[in-house]
This record gives sequence, C-alpha cells and structure tokens, in this order.
Amino acid sequence: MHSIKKILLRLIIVFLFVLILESGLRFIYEPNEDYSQYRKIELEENKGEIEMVFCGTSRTMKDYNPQIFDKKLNTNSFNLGTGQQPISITYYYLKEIIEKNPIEVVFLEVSPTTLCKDSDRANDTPAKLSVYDRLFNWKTKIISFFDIFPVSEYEEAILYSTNIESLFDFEFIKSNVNSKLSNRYEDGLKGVDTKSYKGKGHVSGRSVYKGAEIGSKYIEKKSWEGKRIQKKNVKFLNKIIQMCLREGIEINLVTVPVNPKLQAELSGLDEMNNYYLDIASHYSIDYYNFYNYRKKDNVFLIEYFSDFIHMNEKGTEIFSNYLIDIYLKSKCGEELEKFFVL
Amino acid sequence: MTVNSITFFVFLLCTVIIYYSVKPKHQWICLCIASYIFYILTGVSTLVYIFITTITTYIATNWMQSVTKKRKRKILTGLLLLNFGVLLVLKYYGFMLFNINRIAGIVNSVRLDDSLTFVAPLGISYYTLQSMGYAIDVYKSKCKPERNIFKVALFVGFFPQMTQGPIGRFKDLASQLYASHKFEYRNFSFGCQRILWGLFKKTIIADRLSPVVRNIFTHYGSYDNLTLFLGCVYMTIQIYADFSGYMDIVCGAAEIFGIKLAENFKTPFFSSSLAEYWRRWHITLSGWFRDYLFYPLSISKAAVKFGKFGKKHFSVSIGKMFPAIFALSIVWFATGLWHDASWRYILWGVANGIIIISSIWLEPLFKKTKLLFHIKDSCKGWHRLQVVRTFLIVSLLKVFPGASSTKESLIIIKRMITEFPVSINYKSIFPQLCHSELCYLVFGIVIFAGVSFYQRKEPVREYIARQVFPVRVMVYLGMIASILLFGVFGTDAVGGFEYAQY
Repeated sequence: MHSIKKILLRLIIVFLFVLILESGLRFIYEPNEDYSQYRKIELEENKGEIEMVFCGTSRTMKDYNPQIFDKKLNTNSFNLGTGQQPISITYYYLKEIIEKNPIEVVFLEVSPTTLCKDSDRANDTPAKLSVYDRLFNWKTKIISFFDIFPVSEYEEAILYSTNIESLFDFEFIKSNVNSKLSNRYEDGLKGVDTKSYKGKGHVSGRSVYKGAEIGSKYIEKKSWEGKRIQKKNVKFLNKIIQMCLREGIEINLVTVPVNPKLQAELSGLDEMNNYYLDIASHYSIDYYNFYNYRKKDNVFLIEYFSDFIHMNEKGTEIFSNYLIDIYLKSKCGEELEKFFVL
Repeated sequence: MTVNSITFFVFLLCTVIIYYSVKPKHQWICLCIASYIFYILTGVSTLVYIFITTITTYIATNWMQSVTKKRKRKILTGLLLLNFGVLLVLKYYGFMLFNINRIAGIVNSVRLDDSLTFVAPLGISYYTLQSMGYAIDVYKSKCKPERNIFKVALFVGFFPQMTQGPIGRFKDLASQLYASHKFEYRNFSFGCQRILWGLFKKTIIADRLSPVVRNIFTHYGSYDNLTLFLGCVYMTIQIYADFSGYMDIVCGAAEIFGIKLAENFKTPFFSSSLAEYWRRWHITLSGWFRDYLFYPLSISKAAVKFGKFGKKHFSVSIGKMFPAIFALSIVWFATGLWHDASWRYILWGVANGIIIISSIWLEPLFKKTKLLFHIKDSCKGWHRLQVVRTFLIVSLLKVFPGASSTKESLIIIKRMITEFPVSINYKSIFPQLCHSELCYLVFGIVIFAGVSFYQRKEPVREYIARQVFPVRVMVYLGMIASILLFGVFGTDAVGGFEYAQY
C-alpha cells in the first residue's frame, strides 16, 4: 500500500508537470495572429445563428465567400473548410456545428481526392490537428480521436510539445506572447491577417496563377482512380449525408472548379462524376460538378485561380455567384442537367 | 504496436495492473496471454509460425527425455532442420531464388518461378534462436524440459523481448517468467527510469539522425568522401542509440514485472578491438553464436582436420589457430546472413570476420611491434587510440548495411577513396539537419556520452537513487521534457526500430 501511494504521488507529479508544460508551450508557441484561431472564436460568437455551412478542404475555404451567400440568400453562412481536411474529421466537425446551430443547408466538397485520401497514412497530422483542435466538445474529441488518427499519430495528436518545429525562434516567441498578452482577440480582427482572411472562415488572396508547370505526380494525385478509394472515407461520406438527412438538413455535394490547365491533365473524371452522381441519386440529393459545368471554359478562366486548385478573390466571387444562381434555379425546378454534363 | 508508442505503454500499464492483481501463481498466465495479445496486434496471420516453433520445441524437448542418446540427436536435428527451415523459407526464399535464377541466367537454363513471396513474421529471427538454444540446452542436459506447453509458449514469446530480443537463455529467463513476483516500488521505479532513458536515446538521437543517414546513403552520388564517411559514423551512433534504446525500453518493461532480461550492451564504443566490440555489442546474439555455433564448430571433425592441415603446411602454432579460424569464418558468414538476406550483409559479416581473423593471425606481429616501440598495454594513450581505431573500423563497415544494395556499397567505398571534398561547409557535414535540430542532437549525444562514461564507474540510476527527492524529481522531469521537446515524433519516428527488420 505504501508503494502504491508513492507511485501515485509520482504519477500525479509527472501528470501535472506534463499538463503545465503542454499548456505553457501552447501559450508560447501556438500562433496567435492566425485566422484559424480567430475562426474558432467567430464560430463561438455565431453560435445558434448559423444556417448554412460549406464543408471541405482548403478549396472550400478559399472558393466560397459566405458574405456573398448571406447577401444573396438572406442567410447566415459559415465556411468550415480547412487545409487537407479529411472527410472523417468533416463528419465530426459538422456534427458539432449542427448540434449548436439551426443548420438548414450544407454544401459538402467532393473531389477526386476526397475518398482516395489515406487518412491512416501518417502524413497529414498537422492538417488533421488543425481541425481536430477546433472541435469544441470533449466528448466528440474523444470519440472522434480513434477515427481520425492512426496509431502512429497518437503522440503528435495528444502532445502539443511534439509538434513544435522551432524551439529557438525567439523573435516569434516574443511577438506571439506579446500578442496573446495584449488580448487582441477581443479587438476583433485586429490580430488577424485581414488581407487574406475575409471573415466567417473564408480565406482568399489576390495572387494570380503564373503558369507554373504541373508535375506528373501531382496530376496523378489529383486524378480519380477507383482502386484508391478508401472504405473508411466512403463510410464517412455516407455518415455525413445520412446525418444531414436525419436532421432534416438539405445537403448538396459540390465539386468546385479547378484550374483549366490542371483539369485538362486529370484522368478518370467521368468515373468520378458517375460515382458521386450514383451517391447523390441514391440519397435524392443534388450534385454540382463544376468540372462538368457546361460554361466552364468561358466562366472559370485561368486568371481566376491563384494556383492549380485554388481560386483567387475574383474567382471566388464569380464561383459563389454562379453557384448561388444555379442553386436558386434548381430550387425553382430547373434540372441540373441544364447546367452540368451529367 | 512498437515499444516506443503510446499504445504500448497503455498496454504495458494494463498488463502490469492485471499482473499484480491476479493470484501470484497465475501471474505467468497473465504474461502469456498478454504476450500473445501483443503478437496478435502486430499481425494475426503470422501467429502460425510462432505456434509451430512453440509446439515443435515443446514436443522435441520432452521427447528427448525418454529416448537414447542417438535418437535424441535425431530429434534435435529434426527440430533444428524444421525451425531453421521455416526461417530459411520465410526470410531467405526470395534471396535464394534470386541467386539461383541469376546463375541459371548465366548458364542459360530454365528460370524458377519467383512470383511466390513470403512475409517473415515479426521477431522470427529472435524467437527461433531463443527456442533452438533452449532445445540444444535440453539435449546437452544443461536444463530440464518444461512440461507445460503454455509455459514454453511464454518463454518463446514473452512480449517485451519477442520482436528484437534480447535472446534469452532458458535457465536464466524461464524461472523468472514462471515465478510469482510481489509488487516492489524499486522494480517499478527502476523499470520506468530505464524506459525513459531508452526513449531519450531513441527519440532524441536515433530518430534525429535517421533522416540524415538515409539521405546520405540514398543520395551518395552527390556527396564527397567526407560526408560519406560521416554518414557511416552517424549510422553507427544512430544504430546504437536505436537498438540500445529499444533494449532499455524492453528491459525496463520486464523489470516492472520483476524480470531481469539479459543485457545486450556493455558500452561497446569503449572497446579496444573489433573482437571486444562484438563481445560488448548485441551480447546475446554473439553469445548465442559463440555457444551454439562457434564452440561446436571449432571442435568438429572438419575443424580438427583443418587444424592438422595447418600444422602440416605451416607451423604448429599457426595450425592451432586453424580450427578457430574455420569456425569464425562460418560464424561471421552466418552473422551476416542472420541480419539480412542480402549479399551486402554477408559481405559485412565476412568483412568483420576477416578483420577479427587477421587480428588473431597477426597478434604475434603486433606484440613484437609494441615491444619495438616500447608501447605498454596499460598506456592510456595507446588504449584511447585503440578505442578510436575500433570505432572507426565499426563505422566504416556500416557502408554495407547503410547502402541499399551490394553494388551501391561498393560504389560508396570507391567514392570514399576517390571523391575528395571541394569545400567543407555545414551542409556537407550535417546534410538534412537544420541548426536547431543539430542543437537537440548534440544535447542528446552529450548526455548519452556522459552517462556512458559514468556507467563504467557505477550504474547512473544508482547514483541518482542516492540523491534527495527534489533532485531525483528534477532529473526525471527534465528527461520527460527533453524527450517531448527535443525528440522526434511522427511518421518515421514511431514507425519502428532498425533491428526489428532483422
């Protein structure tokens, strides 16, 4: 019994030490002037009022401007997109948002890579963590943990200290700590890079694609290949749709436009279109595939992209307006076939 | 589940709680179940092979008890053939087929179908040697056979050691495994400390050096001899930190259960000769080859004949060395082959053998030279020089395991001789390592070296245990913080240990 007491005392010391160390390091190293932090606060501020959300990766984050949707559809929308967001996390993230908000419409990004991403391959831990850290509820955090992270990522997922890349960047530490101590969050967007962060989760830039060459590996990665589909991803796609339908939420699958130069190189796009169309028809939901948009050659020009896959500010404005237009028309009974090659 | 992952520590904690909660006489059952759960978690499909080894070892060792000596020999031969046969097929089938087909290609005959491949189960090289060692001991009446098959199963597959050793001996390990152990704070505390120390070495040194070594050996064509040589040195340090780190973790885990595993390292970098280095590096493997291969071979008929040949054609004193040289040649060939089914590992083993045999052969000459230059063995400077020389030899030999093929090893050797550095800069000394990473690495190596130096005097943990509570706490919390802050975690790091592939 004496031994057990001794061990317990030591375990408590170790636990408290790790806890203090982790909190301290988070305070020192977790970037303050980062829109991802601000977005979490914005979400909290809008709690109970969000009616429309856009879910997906950085393409969603950059391509949907919620302010245009708010204005045109008279709604309160929010962009939930984050870099390389795996669909498994999308499910849990969306679930939390639905629990806290009267969501009516969901636009879910589906692309050639959505189902092919191997979330068990430990190569995108930071991407997963950036969304995982945004989950509010501890219960969801614990339940989702095992679905999101493979065993090899547990250490990085649990311990913030294992993710710090540069411990000796004293200039960063100084500015970050100063920024945190100055309570910039409370001053609204003051602490955020307002040039690229447009609010409500949307990030956009003015840079224009300069015609860089596309590597063959990149093309292969961004193409559709049926055999690369991960069962786990399909399961979560179905879970998202079923959850929305169960909650009486309208869900739309959207494949956002891609740089025409890249699209010309991609393969398997017809198979992808058929695959997502089958899912959409199975659940009687709409699928907006902008790879097959009939007017894409005249609308989504190269200069509206900042790189191969992301749109710039101008492109985002055009895309958001076109999507709203098609969405409204389809709600009035117009067939999607009129806009997309099905 | 690797032993440096959070899942392993959760698994270990659960096993420890259950182990000390059950009745003492049932503790070994708890370990046995935990061991096979651990093995299943690494892959169910490979379970059949460890079962084959366990069952055949159990049957053979018990059968040997009730038969004549001649029959005993037959049973042992059958057991060895079966188990080493399984190992041979699973680990060396592809290599053998590749070589047969190459030879067939030269003489233009029919090629064998090489579409069939096998996946060697985790730890097969280790548990096969351990169980065969036990069978040979039973044959030689060095120990009695175990009557309970589940106890044999525990001996073969005790979870901390089953994947990378240490290769235990039945007489040392079995009694500890089957005995009941009372929970002792000292065991728990020392066990945890050793695990921490293992993690320190693995995460701060081995995993930090791993990408550097990989980069140098992968892009050897773009590096000059200095970087290639440093690659070999880095690999030596990396492998030591990796393997000894693993040993510390498993020995620490076993210590929590009150079980002391055999030590595999005894500060090998302080060795003054390659032979001594091998007595202090991977001790349980060297010991296995010494006891079960070297000794029987050196007194075998072939060795005796070879010795007679030496005495006849050279001199009596040289002839006396012949049986040892004969046995050493085979042992080193086997050591190379045991590490991996490839010619570069065989070459590595043979190179080790040649250096050791040469040193035996040239020993009289060395003695004369030392006398000539008035060099005494007790001279510290001379000893240090020998230590440095041994370290360099060990490092240079890493050119074989470091490269990804025999051809590449030879190209690297050629480059090391011919490609002289044009300019010496940071990138040529520390490729793939930024300044902050170098700081973490140097910190780790300095602590590691300091501990190794002190370890020669007394165990460091004994020294720490004598300190007052706050100092002890500071040391351990400092270690935890160092691991978290300076250690490498993630894809490659938690992927596993270098010696698990052997």
